[in-house]
Amino acid sequence: MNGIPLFFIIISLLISYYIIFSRKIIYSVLSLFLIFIFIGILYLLMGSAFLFISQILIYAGGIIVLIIFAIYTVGIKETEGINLKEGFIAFVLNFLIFFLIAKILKDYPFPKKIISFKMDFVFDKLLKDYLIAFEIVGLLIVISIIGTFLSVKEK
Amino acid sequence: MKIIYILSILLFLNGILIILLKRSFIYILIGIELSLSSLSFILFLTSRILGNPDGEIYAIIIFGISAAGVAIGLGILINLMKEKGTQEIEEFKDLGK
Repeated sequence: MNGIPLFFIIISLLISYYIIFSRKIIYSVLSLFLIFIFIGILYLLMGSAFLFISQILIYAGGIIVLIIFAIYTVGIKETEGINLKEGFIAFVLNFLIFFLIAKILKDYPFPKKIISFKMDFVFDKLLKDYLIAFEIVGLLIVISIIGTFLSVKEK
Repeated sequence: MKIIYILSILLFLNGILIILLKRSFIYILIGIELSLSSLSFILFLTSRILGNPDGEIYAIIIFGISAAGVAIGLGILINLMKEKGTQEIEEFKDLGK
């Protein structure tokens, strides 16, 4: 059971390194699409079909299409590569933080088997305890769409 | 289980790395989306490990926030392209003047 999620997360990591070193924007966006699909499959393997569907619909279906639409609207193809000196420092810091977190988590007792919940239990909690946060997120999406529309509109 | 958790933290850090290293606005958006997506996966895994459904609720809320974020980001991108004709962030240093 543990091998298949490991495969997907390692492939996602390799693709994320490809995004860092790539210069062609459209290939990076398509790689991001693959990462979103793989994270969705990880949700499914961990036992949450709802989050799998949400991930595919929102990230892979909505956000990627929006980004590709924007790329073709403004007509950009290539960008500059990364600065090697900055990149070296950033990579060293990245791995330093990663090893620090890994060292902290090394002794934490992880359970052998993951605990799954029924989705109706989660939504019951969402609509009782987190109702205001949920409403605020809905309001945030509406405000962002209206704000984007108003700012892009011809003056 | 532990190694998947730790590697998903590395995926989040790679998203931050994309934001820091790339000079292009689209890549910054890509980095933000990658970090938010892996962050919601980390929260989901945490909720599964601790046996508490709060993490899953946070993951659902982060989905909404990232959708709002990309809408605002693309609006900013189209405005910047209209204003300056480029999307390299080095060119936008004088916007605050």
